[in-house]
Amino acid sequence: MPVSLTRVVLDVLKPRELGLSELVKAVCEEVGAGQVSADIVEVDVKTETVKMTVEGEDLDLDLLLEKLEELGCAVRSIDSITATRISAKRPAEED
Amino acid sequence: MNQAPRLTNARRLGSGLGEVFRILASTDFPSIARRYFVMNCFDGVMTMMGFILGYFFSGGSNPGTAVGAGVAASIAMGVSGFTGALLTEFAERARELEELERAMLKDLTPTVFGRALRVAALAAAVVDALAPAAGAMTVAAPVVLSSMGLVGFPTAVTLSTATGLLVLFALGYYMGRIAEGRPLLYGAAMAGAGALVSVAVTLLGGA
Repeated sequence: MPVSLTRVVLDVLKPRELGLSELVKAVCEEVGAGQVSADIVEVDVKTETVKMTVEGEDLDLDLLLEKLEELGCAVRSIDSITATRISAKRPAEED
Repeated sequence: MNQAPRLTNARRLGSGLGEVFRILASTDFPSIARRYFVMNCFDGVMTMMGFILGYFFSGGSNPGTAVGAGVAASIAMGVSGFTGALLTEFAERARELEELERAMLKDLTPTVFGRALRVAALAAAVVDALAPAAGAMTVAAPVVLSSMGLVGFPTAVTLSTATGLLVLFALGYYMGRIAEGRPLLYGAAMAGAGALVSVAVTLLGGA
């Protein structure tokens, strides 16, 4: 049965010039996430460490990592990841 | 079952540009572009005013010659501004990017920050090229009309000087508004500098 990623928690280093709201909006829009939240963990002169939580129905981890790279962020680690069996939850969506 | 929208290349490019502009807006780029515009427009206006008055008061009477030389001077100012700003801005922003790369411990060239560097350098160069040319050609407009036979050359020189002073006042007023200070004072200072040049050139040309 198909299984998809529904929640990913990342440890991300980002340039301070990239605003937190711009970062979460860009990720939410371009990765197709249902919800993205980011908490600042550490502040440096030019960088900030952010704990980012991305939630959605079917997350593409590669696309998420690629988008973060493109935004100038460095993903230090994937701290938590959740997979969900979808077809069992919503059989009505299949024709 | 996959509900997540997949992106087309065009859409990704568009959104990437949006982020580039947002990053530029969050840096000192808008103020730098504004400074380039005012300083270089000021230069263009002053140069053209000085040139037209100098030509007229040293006995020149052919508006076509004045326009031709003025256009040539504008092109030179534009090319000079473009090259100078492109190289200066690129070098300055490359240094800033390098500092950020050291802090991030990664190459940021293929990211929105690398693109922001190139866009900023190019945009500053375009502003630096167009501002003096625009200022100069605004001042030269009455002389262009004169070369077409629509107004007399002495009248065109007077109108050019008045236009130049007006543009200088407007630039000063704009700077005063930005500084949230006294726009009229800024405008008067800029126009005063223009008046000083006009008087000096008139005296020199007439000597």
